[in-house]
Amino acid sequence: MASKKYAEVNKKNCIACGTCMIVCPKEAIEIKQGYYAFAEPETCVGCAKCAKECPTGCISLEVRP
Amino acid sequence: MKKHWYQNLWIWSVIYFSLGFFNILFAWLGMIDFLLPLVLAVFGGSKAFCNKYCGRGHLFMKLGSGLKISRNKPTPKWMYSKWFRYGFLAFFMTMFALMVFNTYLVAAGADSLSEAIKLLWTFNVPWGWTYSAGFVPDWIAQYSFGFYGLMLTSLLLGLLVMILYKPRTWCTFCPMGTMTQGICQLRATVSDKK
Repeated sequence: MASKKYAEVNKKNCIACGTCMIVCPKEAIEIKQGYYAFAEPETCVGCAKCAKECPTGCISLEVRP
Repeated sequence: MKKHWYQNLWIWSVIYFSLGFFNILFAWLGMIDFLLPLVLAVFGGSKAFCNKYCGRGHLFMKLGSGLKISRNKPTPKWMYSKWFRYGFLAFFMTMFALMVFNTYLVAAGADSLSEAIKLLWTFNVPWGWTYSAGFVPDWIAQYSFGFYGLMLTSLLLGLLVMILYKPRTWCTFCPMGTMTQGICQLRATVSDKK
């Protein structure tokens, strides 16, 4: 059963440092084209570890539609 | 969280700065951390160095998150704003260029070797025990002192913001990160237009 929430990255503030990618327990995050992170909604379990570690705070937890 | 081998690369950071404390010529190894990110960005279109292989990034996570030295407070918005990131990059590259010019002066015989490192681009710290004069041409040694000073300065800044804000706050204005993200963004824009 999918989690209630999933991580969404604000591309504008993302610095593509890869911190989120490293801490994600489900390896749901990849860096796209070298300049922004993307969390795969299907794989993300909404644990918010990425949001907690992100240095720019550009990751938010959104409610699944 | 799955452990990858590259998460141990914080050891490289410790080794690098330790080596430079005993023999300054090892400072040249830092050129790997300078050139590899650019190579990966220009030819691979990726920020793989920042994402996986940056020893400094892993060191900050180890100390900041692992040992909980970081206060984990939000990074100030201005620190990851475009103007500060590119402004700091311009400043850092200017200071790097000045260091290279100083190296040239020593190579040209216009200046003598200074066996000191410059911290925070301001404070001359004697570092003479790490070099015996005459072992290599003076300009090679001069570059070592200059480069090590730059690397140590940025490490100290990174440690400070790691403590004050988030573990990887340094990454928000790291010159290498700014440059490589800019290169990747440019590449993506060009390839999207094709």
